[in-house]
Amino acid sequence: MIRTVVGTDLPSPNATILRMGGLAPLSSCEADILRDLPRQARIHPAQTELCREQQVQPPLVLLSGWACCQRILGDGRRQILRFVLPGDAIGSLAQPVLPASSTTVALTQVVVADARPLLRPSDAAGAPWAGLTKAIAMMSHVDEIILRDQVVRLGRQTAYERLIHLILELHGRLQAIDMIDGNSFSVPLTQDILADALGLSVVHINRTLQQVRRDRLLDMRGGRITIHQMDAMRRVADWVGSIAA
Amino acid sequence: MPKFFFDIIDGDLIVDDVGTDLPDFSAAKNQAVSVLPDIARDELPGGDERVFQVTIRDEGGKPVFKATMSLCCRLLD
Repeated sequence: MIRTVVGTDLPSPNATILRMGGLAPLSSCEADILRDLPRQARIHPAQTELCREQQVQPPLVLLSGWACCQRILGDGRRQILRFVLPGDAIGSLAQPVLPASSTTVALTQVVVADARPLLRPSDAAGAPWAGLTKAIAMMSHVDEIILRDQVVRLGRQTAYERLIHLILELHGRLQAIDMIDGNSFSVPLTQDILADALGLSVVHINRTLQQVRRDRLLDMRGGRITIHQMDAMRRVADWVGSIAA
Repeated sequence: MPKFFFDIIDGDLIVDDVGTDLPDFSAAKNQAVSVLPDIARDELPGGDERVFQVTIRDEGGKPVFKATMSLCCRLLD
């Protein structure tokens, strides 16, 4: 069921403003465009397909909730390519008229907004918004870095390294949108989702979570990750820097 | 879905105190068998004699299945 958000229930544009503003300085007019996005927002339940691979559809911005880009093989095996967090685009803002490069599915209930207002010109002469244009280019660049990190994780890292590297990635990305609380943050990640993101079996994920807990690097329980030893985690995972900005 | 516990030996014994929800025993068995080469890939190389073993316990704690995978290396003259 799709619901249009109305009246006082308008979702916050804060994640989007933090995300885009973290990628490039925005003018107050540009920030106002982002502030107005929730007026056209829609709520979708978990499991909704928000965008389908190879189809052309207007890009969206995720205002709240989590989604993922994924591909499912003929026999049902799933590879999650990357997580989509609040403030991220669904579909490409940089290439809005090209077919989508992957299918995006909601992992939780999500609120999404039509992203086309970001692509409209700033004046009658058709000039683009300078800050938004740069932020959109940066967003594509960061998406590519995230994808490269995923290739290295899946291709060369051990289960232990993969899990820690992914958690460092999520920590950095959530920090950029102010969704970290001290040294912990909430994640809607089940063992199944982690297994499909990291190319591991559910049992292997379970074992690896117990290993990182035993080694006192981090804890994951009740939908919450608590980081105990950030520096040690960075060393283990060959972490080269925050990709959030 | 029933919960199964997978105790894994890869040098150390890691007792599973969390468990994994799976549709049935057959799915649990498939998980147990497929996790062994995955763990071996991460843990090798690490010695000439390695044994990787997984034991499945049911919800009552009773062991119901065991699978073992071993590596033996030998220098040839």
